[in-house]
Amino acid sequence: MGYAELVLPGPPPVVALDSRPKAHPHEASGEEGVYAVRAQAGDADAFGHLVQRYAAVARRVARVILQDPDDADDAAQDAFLAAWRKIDQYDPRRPFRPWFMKIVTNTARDLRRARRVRETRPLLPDVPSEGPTPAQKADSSIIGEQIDRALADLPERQRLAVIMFDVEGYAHADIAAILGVPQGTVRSLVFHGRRALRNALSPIIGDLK
Amino acid sequence: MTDRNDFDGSPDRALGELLRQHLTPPDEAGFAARVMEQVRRTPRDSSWDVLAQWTPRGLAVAAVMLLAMGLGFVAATSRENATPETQSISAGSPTEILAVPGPLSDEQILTVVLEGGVRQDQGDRQ
Repeated sequence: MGYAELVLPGPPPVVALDSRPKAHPHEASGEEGVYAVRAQAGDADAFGHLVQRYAAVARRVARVILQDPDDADDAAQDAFLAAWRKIDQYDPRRPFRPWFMKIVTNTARDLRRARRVRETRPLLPDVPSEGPTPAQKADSSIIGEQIDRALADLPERQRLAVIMFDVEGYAHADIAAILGVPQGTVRSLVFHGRRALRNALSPIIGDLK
Repeated sequence: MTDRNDFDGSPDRALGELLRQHLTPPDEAGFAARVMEQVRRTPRDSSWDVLAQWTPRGLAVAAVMLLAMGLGFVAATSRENATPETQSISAGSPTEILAVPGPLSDEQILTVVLEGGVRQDQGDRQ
Protein backbone atom coordinates (compact mmCIF):
# COMPACT_ATOMS: atom_id res chain seq x y z
CA MET A 1 0.00 0.00 0.00
CA GLY A 2 1.45 3.38 -0.99
CA TYR A 3 1.90 6.35 1.27
CA ALA A 4 -0.78 8.34 -0.47
CA GLU A 5 -3.34 5.63 0.10
CA LEU A 6 -2.65 5.73 3.83
CA VAL A 7 -2.87 9.46 4.35
CA LEU A 8 -4.79 11.07 1.52
CA PRO A 9 -8.54 10.98 1.40
CA GLY A 10 -8.78 8.15 -1.03
CA PRO A 11 -10.29 8.30 -4.48
CA PRO A 12 -13.79 6.91 -4.87
CA PRO A 13 -13.96 3.16 -5.38
CA VAL A 14 -16.11 3.68 -8.45
CA VAL A 15 -13.78 4.18 -11.38
CA ALA A 16 -14.83 7.21 -13.40
CA LEU A 17 -15.04 6.82 -17.14
CA ASP A 18 -12.58 9.64 -17.65
CA SER A 19 -10.13 8.27 -15.10
CA ARG A 20 -9.11 5.44 -17.36
CA PRO A 21 -5.54 5.59 -18.69
CA LYS A 22 -5.02 8.75 -20.70
CA ALA A 23 -3.09 7.21 -23.56
CA HIS A 24 -5.79 8.16 -26.06
CA PRO A 25 -7.37 11.41 -24.97
CA HIS A 26 -9.14 11.92 -28.32
CA GLU A 27 -10.48 8.42 -28.54
CA ALA A 28 -14.05 9.20 -27.58
CA SER A 29 -14.52 12.55 -29.30
CA GLY A 30 -16.70 11.04 -32.05
CA GLU A 31 -18.86 9.29 -29.52
CA GLU A 32 -19.23 12.50 -27.55
CA GLY A 33 -20.33 14.29 -30.68
CA VAL A 34 -23.07 11.71 -31.18
CA TYR A 35 -24.26 12.15 -27.58
CA ALA A 36 -24.19 15.92 -27.96
CA VAL A 37 -26.24 15.80 -31.16
CA ARG A 38 -28.78 13.56 -29.47
CA ALA A 39 -28.85 15.98 -26.53
CA GLN A 40 -29.51 18.81 -28.96
CA ALA A 41 -32.55 16.85 -30.09
CA GLY A 42 -33.76 16.84 -26.48
CA ASP A 43 -32.41 13.45 -25.35
CA ALA A 44 -31.57 13.98 -21.66
CA ASP A 45 -30.21 10.42 -21.36
CA ALA A 46 -27.62 11.18 -24.02
CA PHE A 47 -26.63 14.25 -22.05
CA GLY A 48 -26.39 11.97 -19.03
CA HIS A 49 -23.59 10.04 -20.75
CA LEU A 50 -21.69 13.30 -21.10
CA VAL A 51 -22.33 14.09 -17.44
CA GLN A 52 -20.90 10.72 -16.38
CA ARG A 53 -17.91 11.17 -18.62
CA TYR A 54 -17.09 14.70 -17.47
CA ALA A 55 -18.27 14.74 -13.86
CA ALA A 56 -14.89 14.00 -12.31
CA VAL A 57 -12.83 16.26 -14.51
CA ALA A 58 -15.31 19.12 -14.16
CA ARG A 59 -15.16 18.85 -10.38
CA ARG A 60 -11.36 18.67 -10.36
CA VAL A 61 -10.92 21.67 -12.64
CA ALA A 62 -13.49 23.68 -10.70
CA ARG A 63 -11.71 22.80 -7.48
CA VAL A 64 -8.39 23.97 -8.89
CA ILE A 65 -9.98 27.34 -9.59
CA LEU A 66 -12.07 27.67 -6.44
CA GLN A 67 -9.84 25.72 -4.04
CA ASP A 68 -12.86 24.50 -2.14
CA PRO A 69 -14.54 21.12 -2.77
CA ASP A 70 -18.08 22.28 -2.01
CA ASP A 71 -17.86 25.39 -4.15
CA ALA A 72 -16.29 23.26 -6.87
CA ASP A 73 -19.27 20.90 -6.85
CA ASP A 74 -21.65 23.86 -7.10
CA ALA A 75 -19.69 25.26 -10.03
CA ALA A 76 -19.50 21.90 -11.80
CA GLN A 77 -23.23 21.38 -11.42
CA ASP A 78 -23.95 24.90 -12.70
CA ALA A 79 -21.66 24.24 -15.64
CA PHE A 80 -23.54 21.10 -16.60
CA LEU A 81 -26.85 22.93 -16.38
CA ALA A 82 -25.49 25.79 -18.49
CA ALA A 83 -24.22 23.30 -21.07
CA TRP A 84 -27.64 21.64 -21.18
CA ARG A 85 -29.45 24.95 -21.61
CA LYS A 86 -27.06 26.11 -24.32
CA ILE A 87 -26.49 22.77 -26.03
CA ASP A 88 -27.98 24.17 -29.25
CA GLN A 89 -25.04 26.58 -29.42
CA TYR A 90 -22.55 23.68 -29.56
CA ASP A 91 -21.22 23.00 -33.06
CA PRO A 92 -21.12 19.20 -33.51
CA ARG A 93 -18.35 19.53 -36.11
CA ARG A 94 -16.02 20.67 -33.35
CA PRO A 95 -14.82 18.64 -30.36
CA PHE A 96 -17.14 18.74 -27.36
CA ARG A 97 -14.47 18.83 -24.67
CA PRO A 98 -13.02 22.34 -25.21
CA TRP A 99 -16.53 23.76 -25.54
CA PHE A 100 -17.65 22.22 -22.28
CA MET A 101 -14.45 22.82 -20.33
CA LYS A 102 -14.60 26.49 -21.27
CA ILE A 103 -18.05 26.59 -19.68
CA VAL A 104 -16.64 24.91 -16.56
CA THR A 105 -13.78 27.38 -16.18
CA ASN A 106 -16.02 30.39 -16.82
CA THR A 107 -18.64 29.16 -14.37
CA ALA A 108 -16.05 28.52 -11.68
CA ARG A 109 -14.50 31.94 -12.20
CA ASP A 110 -17.92 33.59 -11.98
CA LEU A 111 -18.59 31.76 -8.74
CA ARG A 112 -15.23 32.79 -7.35
CA ARG A 113 -15.99 36.43 -8.14
CA ALA A 114 -19.36 36.12 -6.43
CA ARG A 115 -17.72 34.46 -3.44
CA ARG A 116 -15.20 37.29 -3.16
CA VAL A 117 -18.00 39.82 -3.12
CA ARG A 118 -19.67 37.81 -0.38
CA GLU A 119 -16.47 37.62 1.62
CA THR A 120 -15.90 41.37 1.51
CA ARG A 121 -19.17 42.04 3.29
CA PRO A 122 -18.40 42.81 6.95
CA LEU A 123 -19.68 40.28 9.45
CA LEU A 124 -22.05 41.45 12.13
CA PRO A 125 -20.41 41.40 15.58
CA ASP A 126 -22.73 38.70 16.93
CA VAL A 127 -22.24 36.34 13.99
CA PRO A 128 -20.00 33.48 15.09
CA SER A 129 -17.22 32.54 12.70
CA GLU A 130 -17.72 29.23 10.96
CA GLY A 131 -15.37 26.37 11.68
CA PRO A 132 -14.06 23.96 9.11
CA THR A 133 -16.65 21.94 7.25
CA PRO A 134 -16.64 18.16 7.53
CA ALA A 135 -15.13 17.99 4.08
CA GLN A 136 -12.36 20.35 5.12
CA LYS A 137 -11.71 18.31 8.25
CA ALA A 138 -11.52 15.12 6.25
CA ASP A 139 -9.15 16.78 3.83
CA SER A 140 -6.82 18.16 6.46
CA SER A 141 -4.11 15.59 6.21
CA ILE A 142 -0.58 16.84 6.10
CA ILE A 143 -0.06 15.82 2.52
CA GLY A 144 -3.38 17.26 1.49
CA GLU A 145 -2.47 20.56 3.07
CA GLN A 146 0.90 20.54 1.33
CA ILE A 147 -0.71 19.93 -2.02
CA ASP A 148 -3.34 22.60 -1.45
CA ARG A 149 -0.67 25.07 -0.41
CA ALA A 150 1.52 24.26 -3.39
CA LEU A 151 -1.41 24.68 -5.77
CA ALA A 152 -2.54 27.88 -4.07
CA ASP A 153 0.92 29.37 -4.56
CA LEU A 154 0.60 29.02 -8.34
CA PRO A 155 -1.15 31.54 -10.56
CA GLU A 156 -4.52 30.20 -11.65
CA ARG A 157 -3.58 29.64 -15.28
CA GLN A 158 -0.50 27.64 -14.28
CA ARG A 159 -2.64 25.49 -12.00
CA LEU A 160 -5.16 24.86 -14.74
CA ALA A 161 -2.51 24.13 -17.35
CA VAL A 162 -0.72 21.60 -15.15
CA ILE A 163 -3.93 19.88 -14.10
CA MET A 164 -5.23 19.64 -17.64
CA PHE A 165 -1.91 18.41 -18.98
CA ASP A 166 -0.55 16.12 -16.26
CA VAL A 167 -3.79 14.96 -14.63
CA GLU A 168 -6.33 14.97 -17.46
CA GLY A 169 -3.90 14.24 -20.29
CA TYR A 170 -5.16 17.03 -22.54
CA ALA A 171 -3.08 18.12 -25.50
CA HIS A 172 -1.53 21.59 -25.55
CA ALA A 173 -3.91 22.58 -28.36
CA ASP A 174 -6.97 21.61 -26.30
CA ILE A 175 -5.72 23.51 -23.27
CA ALA A 176 -4.98 26.53 -25.45
CA ALA A 177 -8.55 26.46 -26.76
CA ILE A 178 -10.00 26.16 -23.27
CA LEU A 179 -7.88 28.90 -21.73
CA GLY A 180 -7.98 31.13 -24.79
CA VAL A 181 -4.19 31.49 -25.04
CA PRO A 182 -1.62 30.43 -27.68
CA GLN A 183 -0.12 26.95 -27.47
CA GLY A 184 3.29 28.40 -26.71
CA THR A 185 1.83 30.08 -23.66
CA VAL A 186 0.36 26.78 -22.53
CA ARG A 187 3.78 25.12 -22.79
CA SER A 188 5.25 27.92 -20.72
CA LEU A 189 2.47 27.67 -18.14
CA VAL A 190 2.93 23.91 -17.84
CA PHE A 191 6.67 24.28 -17.56
CA HIS A 192 6.62 26.88 -14.80
CA GLY A 193 3.70 25.34 -12.92
CA ARG A 194 5.13 21.86 -13.06
CA ARG A 195 8.54 23.02 -11.89
CA ALA A 196 7.06 24.85 -8.91
CA LEU A 197 4.88 21.90 -7.96
CA ARG A 198 7.75 19.44 -8.27
CA ASN A 199 9.88 21.59 -6.01
CA ALA A 200 7.13 21.98 -3.43
CA LEU A 201 6.03 18.36 -3.51
CA SER A 202 9.30 16.62 -4.19
CA PRO A 203 9.38 14.62 -0.92
CA ILE A 204 5.89 13.30 -1.51
CA ILE A 205 6.50 12.48 -5.14
CA GLY A 206 9.71 10.76 -4.12
CA ASP A 207 7.86 8.53 -1.67
CA LEU A 208 5.32 7.57 -4.29
CA LYS A 209 7.91 6.51 -6.83
CA MET B 1 12.63 15.30 -6.52
CA THR B 2 11.74 13.61 -9.76
CA ASP B 3 14.38 12.99 -12.36
CA ARG B 4 12.21 14.34 -15.15
CA ASN B 5 13.06 17.25 -17.38
CA ASP B 6 10.74 20.21 -16.89
CA PHE B 7 10.73 20.72 -20.66
CA ASP B 8 9.38 17.20 -21.17
CA GLY B 9 6.43 17.28 -23.55
CA SER B 10 4.70 14.24 -22.06
CA PRO B 11 2.57 14.19 -18.91
CA ASP B 12 4.33 13.59 -15.59
CA ARG B 13 2.56 10.46 -14.34
CA ALA B 14 3.82 10.66 -10.75
CA LEU B 15 2.82 14.29 -10.32
CA GLY B 16 -0.40 13.76 -12.22
CA GLU B 17 -1.44 10.77 -10.13
CA LEU B 18 -0.68 12.57 -6.87
CA LEU B 19 -2.80 15.55 -7.91
CA ARG B 20 -5.55 13.31 -9.24
CA GLN B 21 -5.81 11.43 -5.94
CA HIS B 22 -5.96 14.67 -4.01
CA LEU B 23 -8.41 16.51 -6.27
CA THR B 24 -10.84 13.72 -7.11
CA PRO B 25 -13.88 14.11 -4.88
CA PRO B 26 -15.84 11.15 -3.57
CA ASP B 27 -19.31 9.99 -4.61
CA GLU B 28 -19.09 10.59 -8.32
CA ALA B 29 -22.22 8.55 -8.99
CA GLY B 30 -24.22 10.58 -6.48
CA PHE B 31 -22.98 13.82 -8.00
CA ALA B 32 -23.93 12.71 -11.51
CA ALA B 33 -27.38 11.66 -10.28
CA ARG B 34 -27.94 15.06 -8.65
CA VAL B 35 -26.89 16.82 -11.81
CA MET B 36 -29.21 14.73 -13.97
CA GLU B 37 -32.08 15.38 -11.58
CA GLN B 38 -31.53 19.10 -12.13
CA VAL B 39 -31.06 18.66 -15.87
CA ARG B 40 -34.42 16.94 -16.26
CA ARG B 41 -36.09 19.88 -14.52
CA THR B 42 -34.24 22.54 -16.53
CA PRO B 43 -35.71 23.69 -19.85
CA ARG B 44 -33.26 24.28 -22.65
CA ASP B 45 -32.76 27.68 -24.24
CA SER B 46 -34.77 28.01 -27.43
CA SER B 47 -33.70 30.07 -30.41
CA TRP B 48 -35.94 32.84 -29.07
CA ASP B 49 -34.04 32.79 -25.78
CA VAL B 50 -30.78 33.25 -27.65
CA LEU B 51 -32.28 36.13 -29.61
CA ALA B 52 -33.74 37.57 -26.42
CA GLN B 53 -30.23 37.90 -25.01
CA TRP B 54 -29.57 40.42 -27.78
CA THR B 55 -32.84 42.32 -27.32
CA PRO B 56 -31.67 44.87 -24.70
CA ARG B 57 -28.64 45.79 -26.80
CA GLY B 58 -30.73 45.99 -29.96
CA LEU B 59 -33.32 48.21 -28.30
CA ALA B 60 -30.61 50.50 -26.94
CA VAL B 61 -29.02 50.89 -30.38
CA ALA B 62 -32.43 51.50 -31.98
CA ALA B 63 -33.27 54.14 -29.35
CA VAL B 64 -30.00 55.97 -29.94
CA MET B 65 -30.52 55.89 -33.72
CA LEU B 66 -34.09 57.16 -33.41
CA LEU B 67 -32.98 59.95 -31.11
CA ALA B 68 -30.22 60.99 -33.52
CA MET B 69 -32.64 60.91 -36.48
CA GLY B 70 -35.21 62.92 -34.54
CA LEU B 71 -32.69 65.58 -33.57
CA GLY B 72 -31.49 65.80 -37.17
CA PHE B 73 -35.05 66.17 -38.43
CA VAL B 74 -35.87 68.90 -35.91
CA ALA B 75 -32.69 70.81 -36.75
CA ALA B 76 -33.36 70.60 -40.47
CA THR B 77 -36.99 71.69 -40.06
CA SER B 78 -36.17 74.69 -37.89
CA ARG B 79 -33.48 75.76 -40.35
CA GLU B 80 -35.99 75.64 -43.23
CA ASN B 81 -38.63 77.59 -41.30
CA ALA B 82 -36.28 80.33 -40.24
CA THR B 83 -36.66 83.49 -42.46
CA PRO B 84 -34.31 86.42 -42.65
CA GLU B 85 -37.01 88.59 -41.11
CA THR B 86 -37.47 86.40 -38.04
CA GLN B 87 -33.73 86.14 -37.63
CA SER B 88 -33.39 89.89 -37.81
CA ILE B 89 -36.21 90.40 -35.32
CA SER B 90 -34.85 87.91 -32.86
CA ALA B 91 -31.22 88.74 -33.03
CA GLY B 92 -30.88 92.04 -34.84
CA SER B 93 -29.18 92.77 -38.15
CA PRO B 94 -25.48 92.04 -38.63
CA THR B 95 -24.66 95.68 -38.65
CA GLU B 96 -26.46 96.24 -35.35
CA ILE B 97 -24.83 93.23 -33.78
CA LEU B 98 -21.36 94.18 -34.90
CA ALA B 99 -21.90 97.75 -33.74
CA VAL B 100 -22.37 96.68 -30.16
CA PRO B 101 -19.09 96.98 -28.22
CA GLY B 102 -17.78 93.94 -26.37
CA PRO B 103 -17.30 90.29 -27.25
CA LEU B 104 -19.96 88.49 -29.33
CA SER B 105 -21.86 85.48 -28.14
CA ASP B 106 -22.00 82.27 -30.18
CA GLU B 107 -25.59 83.03 -31.17
CA GLN B 108 -24.66 86.51 -32.40
CA ILE B 109 -21.79 85.17 -34.47
CA LEU B 110 -24.09 82.57 -36.02
CA THR B 111 -26.68 85.23 -36.82
CA VAL B 112 -24.11 87.42 -38.51
CA VAL B 113 -22.91 84.54 -40.66
CA LEU B 114 -26.41 83.33 -41.59
CA GLU B 115 -27.83 86.79 -42.13
CA GLY B 116 -24.87 87.82 -44.20
CA GLY B 117 -25.27 84.65 -46.28
CA VAL B 118 -28.99 85.24 -46.85
CA ARG B 119 -28.48 88.83 -47.87
CA GLN B 120 -25.69 87.83 -50.20
CA ASP B 121 -28.01 85.24 -51.79
CA GLN B 122 -30.73 87.84 -52.24
CA GLY B 123 -28.18 90.21 -53.78
CA ASP B 124 -27.00 87.49 -56.15
CA ARG B 125 -30.56 86.73 -57.26
CA GLN B 126 -31.27 90.41 -57.98
